[in-house]
Amino acid sequence: MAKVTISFTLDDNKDKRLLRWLESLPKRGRSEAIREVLTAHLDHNSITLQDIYEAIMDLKRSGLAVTPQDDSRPQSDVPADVLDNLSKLGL
Amino acid sequence: MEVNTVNIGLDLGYSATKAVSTRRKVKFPSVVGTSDKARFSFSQDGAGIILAEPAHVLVGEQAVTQSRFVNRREDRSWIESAEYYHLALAALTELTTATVAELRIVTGLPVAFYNDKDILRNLLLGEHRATREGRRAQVFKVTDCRVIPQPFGALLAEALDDRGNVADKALATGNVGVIDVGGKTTNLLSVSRLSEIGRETASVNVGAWDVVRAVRGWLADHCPNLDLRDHQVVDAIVARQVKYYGEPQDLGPVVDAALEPMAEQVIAQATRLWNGGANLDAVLVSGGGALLLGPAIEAYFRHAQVVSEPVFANALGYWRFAQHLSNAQQ
Repeated sequence: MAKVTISFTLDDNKDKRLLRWLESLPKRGRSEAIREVLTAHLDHNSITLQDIYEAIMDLKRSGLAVTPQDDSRPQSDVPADVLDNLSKLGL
Repeated sequence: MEVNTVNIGLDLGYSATKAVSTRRKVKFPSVVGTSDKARFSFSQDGAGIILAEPAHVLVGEQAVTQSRFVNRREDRSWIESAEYYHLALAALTELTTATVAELRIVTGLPVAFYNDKDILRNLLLGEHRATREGRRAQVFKVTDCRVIPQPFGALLAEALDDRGNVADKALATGNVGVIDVGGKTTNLLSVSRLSEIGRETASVNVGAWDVVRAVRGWLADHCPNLDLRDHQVVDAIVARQVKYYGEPQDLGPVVDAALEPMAEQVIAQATRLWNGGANLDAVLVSGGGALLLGPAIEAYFRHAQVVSEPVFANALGYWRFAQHLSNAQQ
C-alpha cells in the first residue's frame, strides 16, 4: 500500500482554533489524529436512505410535536445577582 | 398605528462608526465633511451617505473621498459636537429606511469619559429628524437609551445570544478582563459577575493608529509613490508585507518595532491593574486593533483570546443588551 501525502492550507486568523489543536499534537501522532477526526466526521455525516426511512417511520408512529418557543422565559440557571447586575448596566 | 421598537447597538469610535440592528450591520469611517454639490450631483446612486437634514453634509466614505473639508475630532467633548450627532443620525438612516421609527439605543463611552454618560444619553433620547438625499424624511423616536462602558460591549457580545439571553454562563458569572484596542485609546475593563470593578478599569493612550502611522511613515520613505488607503495599510500590517511594483516588501521589522512598545505598554498596564491577571477567568481582546495587538496579548496572558468579529464586537454586544432590555420589559 502506497503512502499518500496531502497538504492543505489554513488561515492563521480564521482557523486559529484548528492551528492550536494541530500544534498541540505530538509530531509523531499528527496523521493518525487527523485521520480519526476525518473518519468520525464522515461516519457522523453519512446519512443513508435507511436512516431517512426509519426517521419517517418514527414520525408516523409518534407524530410530530411542536413546542412553542418562549423568548421571554426567565433564565433560571443564571444567578439572580448576575441578572440584576445586567439589568442595572448603564443606569 | 402601532409602532414596534427597534433595538439598536451604536458604537461611535474616533475611527469608525459601527451599528447593529436585528436586520443590519453597518460600518463607515467616523468622518463628516462639507457637501460639494458640483460633485455629488453626478453620483446620486445611493452609494454614499449624504444628509440633507439636519445639515447638508457628507458622512463616512463619501466624506473621505469627496469633501473639501472634513471634520474628524478626537477629544472628550466630541460627543457634544454636531459631527457626532450627524454620525449617529447617519448610522440610524443606514439601519432603517422607515419614515417613523421608535428606537431603543444602547451605546458606549470610553472608560475614561464614562462620567459623561448622561450628556450622551440626553443627546440621544427624544425625537430626531433626518433626511438623506433622495429619500423621504425620517423621524427617530428614541424612547430608551443606555450608555455603558465601551469594552462591556465585547463581553456582552460573547456572553449573550441574539435574544439577549445569557448564552455563556461561565463568562457571565466569572471574573473577566477586557482589552479593547481602539484607534486612539485602549480601554481596560475588569468585570465580575457582569458588574464593573472600577479600581481595575483604566484607559491607555495608545491605539491601532499609532502602528498605522508608523508603518505609513516607513512606506513613505521606502516605497514612494505607493498610495494606500488606511484599511490597505492595516491589511498590509496584518499580512506583514506589501507589494511594491509587484515585488513583496517585508514589513515584519517595522511592524514589530511599532507593535512591541505599544503591546508592552498595554500589557504592563493590564498586569498592574489586574494584579498579574491570574485571578481572571478569561481575558477578551476586542476592537479594531485586536488583530494587531492580539497575538502579543495572547502570548502573554495564556487565557486571553481575540473575540470573534473584534471590530463589531462592541456594537454587537450593545445590540444584544438592547434585546435583553426589550425582553425584560415584556
